[in-house]
Amino acid sequence: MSHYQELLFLTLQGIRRKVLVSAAGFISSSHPAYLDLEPSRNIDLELLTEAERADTALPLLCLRCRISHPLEAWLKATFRAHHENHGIELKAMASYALDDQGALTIRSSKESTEDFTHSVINSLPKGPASPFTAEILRSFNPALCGLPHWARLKIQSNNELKAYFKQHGLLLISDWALLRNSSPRRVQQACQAHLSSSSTIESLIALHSRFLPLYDLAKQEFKATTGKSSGWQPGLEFLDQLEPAQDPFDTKERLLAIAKAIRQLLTGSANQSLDQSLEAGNEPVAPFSTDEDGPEPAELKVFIDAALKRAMDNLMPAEMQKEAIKFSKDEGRKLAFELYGQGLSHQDIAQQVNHQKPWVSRLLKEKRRSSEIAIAAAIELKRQPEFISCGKSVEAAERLVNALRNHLVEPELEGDIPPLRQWMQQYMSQP
Amino acid sequence: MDAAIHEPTMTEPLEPLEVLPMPLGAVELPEGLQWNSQRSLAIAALKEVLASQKAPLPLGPNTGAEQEGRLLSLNRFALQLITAGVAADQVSVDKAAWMGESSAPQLLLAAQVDEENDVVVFSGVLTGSEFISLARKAKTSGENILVDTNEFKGGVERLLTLVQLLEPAALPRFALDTAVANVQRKVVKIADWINGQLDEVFSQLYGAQLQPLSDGAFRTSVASRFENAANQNALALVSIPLGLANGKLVIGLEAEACIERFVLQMLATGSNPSNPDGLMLQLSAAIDGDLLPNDLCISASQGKHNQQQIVENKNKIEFNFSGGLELINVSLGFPGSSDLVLPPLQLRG
Repeated sequence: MSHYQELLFLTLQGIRRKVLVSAAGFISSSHPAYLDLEPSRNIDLELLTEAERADTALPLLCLRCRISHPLEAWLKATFRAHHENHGIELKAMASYALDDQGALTIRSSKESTEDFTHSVINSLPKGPASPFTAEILRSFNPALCGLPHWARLKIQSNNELKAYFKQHGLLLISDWALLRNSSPRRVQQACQAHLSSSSTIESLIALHSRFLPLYDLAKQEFKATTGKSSGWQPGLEFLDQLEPAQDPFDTKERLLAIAKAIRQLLTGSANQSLDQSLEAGNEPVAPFSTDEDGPEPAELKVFIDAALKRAMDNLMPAEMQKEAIKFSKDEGRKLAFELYGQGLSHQDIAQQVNHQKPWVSRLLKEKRRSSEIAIAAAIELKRQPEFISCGKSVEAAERLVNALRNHLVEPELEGDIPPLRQWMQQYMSQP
Repeated sequence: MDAAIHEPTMTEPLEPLEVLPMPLGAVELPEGLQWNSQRSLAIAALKEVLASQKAPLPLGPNTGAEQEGRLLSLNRFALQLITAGVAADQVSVDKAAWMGESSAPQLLLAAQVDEENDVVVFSGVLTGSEFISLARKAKTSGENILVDTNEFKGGVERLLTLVQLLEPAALPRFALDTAVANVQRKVVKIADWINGQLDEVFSQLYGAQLQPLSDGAFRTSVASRFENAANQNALALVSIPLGLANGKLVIGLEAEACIERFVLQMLATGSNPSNPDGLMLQLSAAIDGDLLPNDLCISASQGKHNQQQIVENKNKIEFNFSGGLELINVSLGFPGSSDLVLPPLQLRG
């Protein structure tokens, strides 16, 4: 029964676990029966009641230990799923959640510390309390959900962690936003595949469909009163309105279970789906082939190359001037552009500049830049009789732009350096 | 001792995905500003994308663009902006904008918005005809049509491509419900095909493609594909791609993605190269020698002359019409699908 006496916390060496003597002593002396039991909602509630009633630090200390376990599990699962592709660091993530060192006192203002008790954490000023366990415990309402769930919901809405993920190309999505943005079809698929519950799938879908309009209203109200878009949590009133005849605790648990099932459904597809939809329609097409009789491909190639060169010369210097301002922030930035010009793959560039591949992709913005160049060149080419159909037909316009973009970034023969990279090489070699 | 990171095994249940990878091309808006709605975030992101373009593209209206349901005008194209959450699998499209042909949008842009992170992802664009084609089989919810987010293709790049390269007339406006009815009432003149003209709406809604047959050798080669065209002078060929998607009859672009594909070819013939007097219809599998799907039914009539065949182990069905002033009506049917009715074809006059 170590969860109430063992704290997981961040040190300079990483996440460490230690048994807190004072917590262990409190359990042995005041609650010896807990030693043989698994952590549970009942024990959480007993300790919470004791913390409120006696207003002493030790019952809360045991709950702080308890919370650190689901927080650590969440951090590690998220780290495991994304560190390879997005370069997130476990220590950095833990600094937002596992910052509780197990002290029996808490800083209540700049100058003073007080005992880490229920009354003290509830009297802390508005805004995120530190350590994070204090924020979780002071906002916890046991009528709405279990403590581990609450810890997870709070970490999901931690603004600093959100900003950290965003820097690394990841979006932290709350359960409520995820539920709001899922169709009944997705809810059904998720529940069928990933949820074993005493509720029927039909009743879960019905619960979800009632949730949607109420969420929209509640979110609107929350935004109007707080000025914030994130951080909304359903309160008692909301849950009562959603399922008047049900225990609000059960209602929230069912909503969270649906959200978890949706997350599991998305696990297999989210990494690709949005990117794939953006990538769609980029199938390689040779830009030098036209259906009609007209100039020879070699002649067309001269037109096309000239149009692309003019478009690059017109668009890229301003882009690179903006990038150059940031070269001093990270030496890897300049090197990445140089290596790109030499023809290295994004993966190889990432290795040489000690970043992850997504960082390189976001820096080079190859797709956006090649699209802009291709469109600019296509606008010029449209004036030629061979390309006049591009102004009249969706297919012809897209075919031409895709082909030009493909020509810009894909080598025609193995070992060739495509035009955009050649341009970059020339630009980066200028003094 | 660092707490060990446990690697999951194949038998463990999937870990729920807590964060979504930010798609390439996502627009990150400044944090700390208060946005009233998903739409206001999407408009701000669209303005940011346009501001990054070398050549400025006019976006209107100047005021009130944030108002829900209001159509935008981008470089003279009427644009409907619809929004959903970043993790959404469906978007709702308000039918109201699509009720009149004169006011319907030419393009539909989907923006997936993450209000909690101030991020906007433009999932892609549908043209009016693409939307109408999806709307015909989409589910509705009240006054809204539900469209899967993955139906929107090409990101914001597709929008920029279409509004910068196309002439506005190249994207006709279609009204819901009436678009198909209108085109079905509109007569298609076969003589126009010989001059290289194919009705735009016929081409966009049915995916009809025209091959003018100017070269003699080419004419002969096309005519040889038709069993009864040996002694005929082939003048122009129009093809409509067809297919079966989940047991439903589909046409045009949608058919091109099907595994089971076939094609309806219409060959205009005649001894006078500017005035066709015959029409051959041929329904055949897209791959030479392949069988057509059984139970597929084709009917064609001109005045009292009716022809109909239901496929049973056939790879080709051919109908001929010669002369006559009456209109030729063609339709295709497949069990479980609504009938596909072509606009009436006019051979002479």
